Amino acid sequence: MLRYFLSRLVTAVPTLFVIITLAFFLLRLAPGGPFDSERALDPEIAANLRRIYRLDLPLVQQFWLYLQSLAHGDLGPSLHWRDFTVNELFAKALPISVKLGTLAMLVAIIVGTALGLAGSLRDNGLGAHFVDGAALVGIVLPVFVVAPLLQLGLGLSLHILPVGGWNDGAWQNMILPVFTLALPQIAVVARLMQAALRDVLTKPHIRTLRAFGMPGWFIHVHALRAAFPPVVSYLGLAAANVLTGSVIVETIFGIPGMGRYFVDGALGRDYTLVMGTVIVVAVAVVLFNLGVDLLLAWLDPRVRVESRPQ
Amino acid sequence: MVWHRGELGDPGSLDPHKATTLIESNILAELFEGLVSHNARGEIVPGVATSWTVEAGGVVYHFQFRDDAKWSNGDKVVPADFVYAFRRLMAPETGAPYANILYTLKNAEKINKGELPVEALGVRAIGDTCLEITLEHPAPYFIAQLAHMTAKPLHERSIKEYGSDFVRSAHIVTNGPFMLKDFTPNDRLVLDKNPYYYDAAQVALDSEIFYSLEDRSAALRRFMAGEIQSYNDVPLDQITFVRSHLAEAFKVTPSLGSYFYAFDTRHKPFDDRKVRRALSMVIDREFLAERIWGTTMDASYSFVPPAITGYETPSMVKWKDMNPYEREDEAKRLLAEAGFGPGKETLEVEIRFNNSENHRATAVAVADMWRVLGVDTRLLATDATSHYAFLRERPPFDVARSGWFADYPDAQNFLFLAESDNKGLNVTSFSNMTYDGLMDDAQSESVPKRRSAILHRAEALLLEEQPYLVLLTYRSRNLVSPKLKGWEANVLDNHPGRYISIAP
Repeated sequence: MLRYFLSRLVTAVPTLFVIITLAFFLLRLAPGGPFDSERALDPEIAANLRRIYRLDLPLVQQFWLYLQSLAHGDLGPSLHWRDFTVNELFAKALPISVKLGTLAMLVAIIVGTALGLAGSLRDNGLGAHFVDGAALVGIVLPVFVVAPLLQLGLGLSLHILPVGGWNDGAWQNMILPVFTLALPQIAVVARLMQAALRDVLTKPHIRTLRAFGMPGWFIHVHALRAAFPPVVSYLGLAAANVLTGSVIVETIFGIPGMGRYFVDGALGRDYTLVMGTVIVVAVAVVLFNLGVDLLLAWLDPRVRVESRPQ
Repeated sequence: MVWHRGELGDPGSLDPHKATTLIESNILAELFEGLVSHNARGEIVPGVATSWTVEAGGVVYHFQFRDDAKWSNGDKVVPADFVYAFRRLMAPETGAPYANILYTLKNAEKINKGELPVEALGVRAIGDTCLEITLEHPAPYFIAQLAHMTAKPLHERSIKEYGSDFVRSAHIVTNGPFMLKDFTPNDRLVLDKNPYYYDAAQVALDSEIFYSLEDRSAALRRFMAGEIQSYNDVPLDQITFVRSHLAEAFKVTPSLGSYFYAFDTRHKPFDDRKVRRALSMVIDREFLAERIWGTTMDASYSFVPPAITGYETPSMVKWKDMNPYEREDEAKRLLAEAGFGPGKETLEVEIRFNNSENHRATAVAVADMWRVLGVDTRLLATDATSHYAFLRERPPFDVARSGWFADYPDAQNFLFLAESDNKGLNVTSFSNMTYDGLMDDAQSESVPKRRSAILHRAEALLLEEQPYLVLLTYRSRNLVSPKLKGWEANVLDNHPGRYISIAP
């Protein structure tokens, strides 16, 4: 297992390097730069700024300098939030996004599994129809529709929860964004779980359990482990979806996470900020997939055997 | 008493010499006080200076300092703080984006371009009570310029100690009515009342909290929920709802901003003023203001917006009072003279604009209005950064959307956009010796009335030539809770916390 883990980790390094290189040069192909705004700067002042931020150097030299900084864990100064380095911005924003994303994933897994389990108890029963219907709603409704509806309903009309803001991570402020982020994933997990459980429940070992007269709930719980692999396989994609969904959720709810940096950095040509977000996302996706593979290997010994060198 | 203020974004920097946006300007006005400042109505009032005298034909100023002005650490604010700040602003190594606003100071431009040492700047401390400033040329707008964020004093010792980190809440020393308590990017910026401020007894607020709210619809919901007490925009697609449900809180005020299209006057056919004027004449500006912008803009027939004190009513295009049919006939005649129209060449125009729903709708409407002239119009939208980079590099183009907000309330701050030597901001590349001559005359004229008359003539000439096709004048859009007292509408959209209180 450890060898499997290490081999996967080592192959991730060249992947990251290719992503960083591509991102660096593609970003510079985009027209305009960090100092282009509605009010044009005096050409000499703009040249002065480019010199200060070393944007006047040849591109290859800039890339080399960037890699050197990166080797020291330094993501450079932000060109928009000029009083902060990218490291400082991320040090505040990343834990918030991770907290939000983790909670959303946990809610998606727990609620989705429970719904899938409930829906699988009886084929074509009320529960199954409810799960199908709820899942469809969850999948079809985009985040930018769900979020304002929740704000209007629970925040503005009923005054149960705050409409927005982070408030240093108070639980009241987390409920709506976490639920909004989790909703589409709950729907997918519920459907995957329901389908997988129905499939597992027809397997011979389950029939054996039934023949022994085991109670229904016991059989379902027992079937859960066998039904999890398709759900786990999806979790890597779900995590990536949560990551991208957080851009909209954080903007609508005014949460100081990484989401805004994705958009603002790209639109404002904040090169260092965009590179930082690319690296964070790339590392996160690599880690998600690695985590999913490890979880699958743990759940299903066949995966370990297949991945072993012959 | 805490004022929860929604803003459209974060400040990029709290260093007055690195700041560039209106958001930064609003916050810096709370943190730092210059020689003069703005009151709640946006009028210039004494700040650190209690009074000033002007000598030598409007070139030398002497500012008398108040003796109770203090920094937030208790140090006294002295003229040397301004000398230090102005020299730092002009030093090339500071990289101040807006240093050119104060090129009015003697030798400032040469220093900023590395041709002279900072000591050559026309700013001198006379003891601890008087600051002498010498200008390059008379500038009646100079006092207004001193309220700009680039003209704030700085606490030299803290900058020397902490370098660029002097702006952190743990280090920053300010002299305004408020001081920085905390700043979390993308979240909130907290200002506390400065107990050392000379007028602290009259400041009712204990704190101000600025929230960075980019999503206008979400901000509207937070305003309606009472989580914020003000916000400086509204979602334009919900303007009818806002007007009907929040009429008392919705404040729309004329602003010192012009929305225009710029012609590339370097090339045919837009080097011909007949073509430019014809295209301008057939535009129904009232339609744009009312239907496209939901009356959050005013139709404009002048280049300088109204409401600039001392300039009074701007010059207007001569055809303003013609009816639409007369305008259309005249426009067709002008185009025919220029070689376009029935039986002649078809005029093709490409409108470039930075992509946004309203810019697009405006361009579509304009293209439709030009159809009566037989003009074949194409639209080209790019993201804002690409659009402004294009205007900076300025390869050949037909028409490009642009706009301008005044740095200081003076007609010159609009009219200089058409000067031949304004290579950076004159996106039309318009060049007219008579116009340049009038602008030079205005610069050397120290009698306000005569100067205003010269600027009016320059504006009239500009409207005849139409290198800029002015469409609209901006209006500021604010949501203001009725509980907020002391908030006054003004053309600068400036609302200092010093004058605000909150009803229970």
